[in-house]
Order: sequence, then structure tokens, then C-alpha cells
Amino acid sequence: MVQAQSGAERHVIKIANDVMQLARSGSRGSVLHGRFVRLLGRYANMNAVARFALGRYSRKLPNSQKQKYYKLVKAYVAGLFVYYADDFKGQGLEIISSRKSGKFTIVKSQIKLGGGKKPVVWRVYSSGNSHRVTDVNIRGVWMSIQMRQKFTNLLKRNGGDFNKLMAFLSEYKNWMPA
Amino acid sequence: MNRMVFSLALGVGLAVNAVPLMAQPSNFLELYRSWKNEDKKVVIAPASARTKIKTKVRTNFSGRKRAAALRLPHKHKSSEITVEEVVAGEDNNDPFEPVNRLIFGFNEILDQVVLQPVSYTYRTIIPTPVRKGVSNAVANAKAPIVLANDVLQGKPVRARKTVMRFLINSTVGLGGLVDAAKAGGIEPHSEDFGQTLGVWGVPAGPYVVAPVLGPSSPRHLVGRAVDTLANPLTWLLADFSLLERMTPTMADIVTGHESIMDDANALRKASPDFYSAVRGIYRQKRKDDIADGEVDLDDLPEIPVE
Repeated sequence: MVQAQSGAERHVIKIANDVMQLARSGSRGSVLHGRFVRLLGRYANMNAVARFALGRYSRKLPNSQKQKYYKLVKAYVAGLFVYYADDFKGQGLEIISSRKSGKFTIVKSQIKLGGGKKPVVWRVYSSGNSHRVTDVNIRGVWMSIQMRQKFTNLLKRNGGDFNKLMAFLSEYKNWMPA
Repeated sequence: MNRMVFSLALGVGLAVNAVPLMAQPSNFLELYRSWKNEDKKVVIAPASARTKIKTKVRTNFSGRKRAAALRLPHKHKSSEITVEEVVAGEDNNDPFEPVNRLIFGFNEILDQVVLQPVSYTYRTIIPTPVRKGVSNAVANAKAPIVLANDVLQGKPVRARKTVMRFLINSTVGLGGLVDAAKAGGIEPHSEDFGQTLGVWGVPAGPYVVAPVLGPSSPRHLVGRAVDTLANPLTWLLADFSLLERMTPTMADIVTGHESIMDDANALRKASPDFYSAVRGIYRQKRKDDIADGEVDLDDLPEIPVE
């Protein structure tokens, strides 16, 4: 018996299809990066993830730097996607299970890749018929937690200097494949 | 055998050293109340009270408060951190950080000078199907350890899968070179004694970087030592020369390193501090391995969505 898919599951399938299509599109470097930035804006709540990634420093981020920081986080995550684009050239996504708790749903899935399957877990925030991804777990690692550890450690080592964090985030241009 | 003795000595040594660190005063509820009262400095809880208080917190609180109160890390020698750090999950439980960073630096040199060139050479001269075969054979040789830990963790379904995989791959799979079981729909999984200890509720202890072995914890190191002792290969090869005894370990290291080399290099480039990035990933990955990939919603941090 085929179970009806929830809104969160449909949202995940839609994102995954778009991501895999983008990875297979043949675009590279800054073109691919720009397209993924737009995709993130459409499907994910990156501002929430960016705020969360600052941990206890989130209240200290000056208003004047907020928009720049949000934009850089989106660009940084898109840079990671470009780096790992080959890993997303899957042939499809299979939903394993999903579990709802309050406004969040955990969707477990597998990306079919070559002869194998790569597990990916999604954390989706739902409000009415609107769904947004707030976190992704690949190979057992949550993106938001990993980002928070990186960012707060950097801020801690630099006396809470947000300019250092911004400078680090801007470096994606140096390591992202051209 | 040398490696085994070394691992055991290191594991026991670190475990013994870690014991006094787990006896600092304080408790979860006090910490939680301090947080509520917005005190900025707290003393971290003792291990002796940990389980008892954790149960109390679980009983008396729910949702976000419970999750925040339960996220208290293990104890530190320099036992003061801010409540904000604890609540934000930013404590690293890394009291040996200066020593760990030194060993990490040594491991990095070893990686650059020995492991990376060996892995690149291996990748260049050995065709992908052969590399895959070696990797499959190494994984198949670990089946008895995986099975023992499946059983110790009380997971009969996974134990049955491990037995099936071992039987199929050792026969149809030409001694493990071909993962015929996976092709037949029986997916592989890994278990080790460190994970078993985690399932039994033994705390991981502080973060430790071991020479050569890399990111670890006292629990993980003890687990490695027990797995090495329990591995039939260790005893089957006991009378062989050192080189022959080390062959399975070296194959494991080279195939393992080759498979994560690209990810590690990407992480190096995309991290402001590679050491702390590896520490964070190691912690998350071990937790995920112990939970067999199951996600505990209560354990996830709150992401405030506007």
C-alpha cells in the first residue's frame, strides 16, 4: 500500500529533484553557485540557520551587519554545494520515513547515487501549507550544528569580532571550484 | 600486537586520567536554575550525580527546557563555562585541548608526509574495481566484530543481517572481494565496542586526539582496544611476522584514508580552524553511529524560526 505523502515530504522531494537537476545541469563555478543561492532562497530558511549558527553571539551581531552576514552564509553554503556537486548527481530520492513534532518534521531519505544510496535527513519547518528546510543531515552530521561550532569557535578566538567571521565566509570564492 | 598493546595502554591510560576529571561539583538542576536566573558562570556537574539528576530533569521538564537542561556536557578540570555556552551547546568538552592540538598537528604532518602520498599513489595505480574489492574484503573481515557488537547491543535483526552478509560475501562474493549481499539488498552497517559502551550508557568522556588513530574519546579508545583483542585476525596472525600481522591494519588505514581524503581536504579549505571542525564532526558522527542513524527530536537544538 502506498502511503500519501505529507506536505513536508513533498517539499523535500521537490528540493532534492531541483538540487540533483542543478548538479547534473553541467553548470560550473560562479554560474552554478548563483543558481544554488537562488534555490536556497526558495526552499530553505537560511536566515534562521544563520542566526542559529551564531549561538550566543547572535544577539551581539549589529543590525548594520545582519543583511551582509545572512547573504554571506547563503553564499558560503552554496559554495559548499558547488564543491560537492558531484555527490548530488543522484538518480532520485526515496523517502524512508517522516516524523512530526510540533511545527518540525524530520524526513529520512536516501539519494540514489550510482550503485548505492546515500542517506540524507531533513528537518522541515511547516506553517500551514508553507514548508521550509531548516537543517540537513548528511552522513550523520547536521549542517547547522557544524556551522555553529565553526562560527562560534572563530568568534571566540577573535574576541567576538564579526569582521573576522565575514572575512572567513567571503573566502568561499578561493576554495570553490571555478 | 605492538599496535594492540599500544592502543590498550593508551586507552587505559586515558581512561584512568579521565576519572578525576569526572568528579567536579555541581548538578543539572542547579545549572538549569542558574540559567533561568541568568547567572553567567557555573561549575559543571559531577559524573556521580549525572544519571540521577538527568532522570530528575527528564521527569520534571519537557520540550525545549528539558532539551537545554540535558545538553550539559561532561565535566572539565577548568570547571567554569558560561551558562549561555552550555545552553547553546558550545562547550567542547576538550580539557586536553593544548595537548590534543599538538598531537593533531603531528597527525597532520603524518597525513601530509605519509598517508596522502600513499593514498594518492594507491588511487592512481590501482583501478577503481580493485580498490573497491580491497575495501569490501577489509569490511568483510570485520564482520565477526560487528556481529559480536550487534549481539552485545541486543540487536537481533542487525546481527542476522551481519551473518547473512558475511556468509554471502565470503562465498558468492569471492571471499569478500565483491559485496554480493549489498547487491541483494542487504545493506552494510558498522558497529564497534565503543558504540556498544555508548548504547550501554557509558559516557564518552572528554575529547581526545590519539597519535595516528586521530579523533577519539576514552570510551572509543577502550572500544578499539577490546575490538582488536576480540578480532579473530589478531590471534590468527599472532605467529606471523610484524609486516604480515600489520597487513590488514595497513589495508584498513589506506583504504579508509583514500575514501575520506577528498572530504578531509574540502573541510581543511572550508574551515577557519580544522582542528575544531574535525572535533565537531567526530562528535556528531559518533553520536549518529551509536543511534544507528535514528534522530531523537528532543535532542536536536532549537532553531528559532521567525
